[in-house]
Amino acid sequence: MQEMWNGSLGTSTVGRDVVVRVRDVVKHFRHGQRVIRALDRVSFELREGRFLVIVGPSGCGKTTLLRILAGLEQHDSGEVWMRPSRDGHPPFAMVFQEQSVFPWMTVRENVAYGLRLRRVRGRAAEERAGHWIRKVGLAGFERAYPHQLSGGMKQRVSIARAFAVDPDVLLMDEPFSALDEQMRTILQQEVSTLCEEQQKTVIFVTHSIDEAITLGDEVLVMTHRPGQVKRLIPIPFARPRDVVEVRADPRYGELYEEIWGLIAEEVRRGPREA
Amino acid sequence: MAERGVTLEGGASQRVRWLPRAGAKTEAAVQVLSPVALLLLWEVAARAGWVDQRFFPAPSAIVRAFWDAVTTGVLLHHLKVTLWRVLLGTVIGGVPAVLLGLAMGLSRWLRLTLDPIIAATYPLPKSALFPLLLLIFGLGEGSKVSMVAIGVFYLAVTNAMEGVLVISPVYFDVAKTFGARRWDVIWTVALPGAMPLVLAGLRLGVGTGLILGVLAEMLGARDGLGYLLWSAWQTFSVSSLWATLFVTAILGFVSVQLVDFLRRVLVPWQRTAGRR
Repeated sequence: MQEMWNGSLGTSTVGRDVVVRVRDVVKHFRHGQRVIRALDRVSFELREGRFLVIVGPSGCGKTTLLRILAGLEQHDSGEVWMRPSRDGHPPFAMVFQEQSVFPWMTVRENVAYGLRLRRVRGRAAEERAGHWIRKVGLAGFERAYPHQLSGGMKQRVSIARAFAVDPDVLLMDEPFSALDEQMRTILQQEVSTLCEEQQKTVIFVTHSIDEAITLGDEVLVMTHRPGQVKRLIPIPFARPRDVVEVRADPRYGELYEEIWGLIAEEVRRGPREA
Repeated sequence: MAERGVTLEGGASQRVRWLPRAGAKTEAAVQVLSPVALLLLWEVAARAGWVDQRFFPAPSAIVRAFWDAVTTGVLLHHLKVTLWRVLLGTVIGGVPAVLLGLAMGLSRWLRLTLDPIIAATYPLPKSALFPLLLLIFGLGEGSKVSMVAIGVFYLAVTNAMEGVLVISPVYFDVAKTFGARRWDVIWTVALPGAMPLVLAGLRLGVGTGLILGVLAEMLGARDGLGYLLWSAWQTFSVSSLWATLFVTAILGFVSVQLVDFLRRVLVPWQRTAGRR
């Protein structure tokens, strides 16, 4: 797993500002006797500072793709490359869909978790954790345990934990899907602003077309199983953005219709068993 | 005003209530007074000869026997002996059990290898092992301490293993994505995640260990609370039998409280969770 981030791309060359490159990635799952193809020759490239949102019908393998990028699953063939970080640590941090904040750690310990694993200790760790706790609006909750927090606050802890290690790439797996709509909109704005401010390269998986258009620089629409890249759609809105104003833009409606058309086609077609 | 069958107001408050709801102080008083009332009743019944004094001596007689045993130092001596055996047995049985249980939770192969052995020997009544332990360790401390240790071991090992297995996989994923090494995973995820069940297992284990320890003392020891109970029965000193029983009950209560205290210290994130 460790080698993946440090490994070279062999013969192929990578553009200078490319941070993530996925080429012809194939992934199968064994389901008893049957072998199901989850991903079929998925390829894309992501340049520094870009915000890519992956959408697709449920079961299209978008989460699997993200987990492969995070080193949590192995792909069967193809290449996955992420620009190594200078210090040899994973060049990314991941924000998970479910409740992933450690219940046995306080807010401060959770946010400092990545730093602790990187052996950043003492005042330096304290300051960086404190900075990110304030940044996500949790000042005063440093010593609280997660069970004392609301769902939105827990997800803020998770976001702060990812930002605290200052990764080049952020992987986000439906981070807002469990939140109510108001909290979702608020956190969308905060994440959008933070990623812009920190110049993060982001891969964000969601099933919400609205979220995809609101947050993304580009939206990658996937087909039904086996997941392939159906289309890559550039989003013309400049960043930094106001996630509410964007929705009022006439182009928002056109984009929504276009993406919905692509996904509806796939949902109607259903999975194609390989 | 309300006609039959048509209740327009005050429906809820018309529920039949034998007694009016009392204040918190009264409720606490009832909780304290009910055992006292029982003891009083017992005392009166014993003196009046309503119950057989040979089996149920008056509480005052038990207190006297208790006091005699305390002042002569007999009770404290035997209590100390039992306490030491339970403590030693808990450490000897509990520490390896927790470590092994955690390792089994983490390693599929270890689990596959050892779980059948533990599952097969678990249903055996541990008390049935005592003759064998006597054979191995003789009448000395070893047989009693190992009895306690065995009782603690089984409950601690299965609970520690289960404690790791119930940890949501997402926490292991989080650790991995932040670059955790094996030891980091154990220290920051497996151990704290399993801690609630580890302590639940220890709590049950201490209870079982005490039962087995006292039993072993009855069967093959020259000291300890179990021995004291047994010799009280043999010499038909019913009052001291009751007094020792009382002390044994307190020992059980205190040892469970001790584990609960340990839980509050080691599992602070559950202190306020779910206990409103």
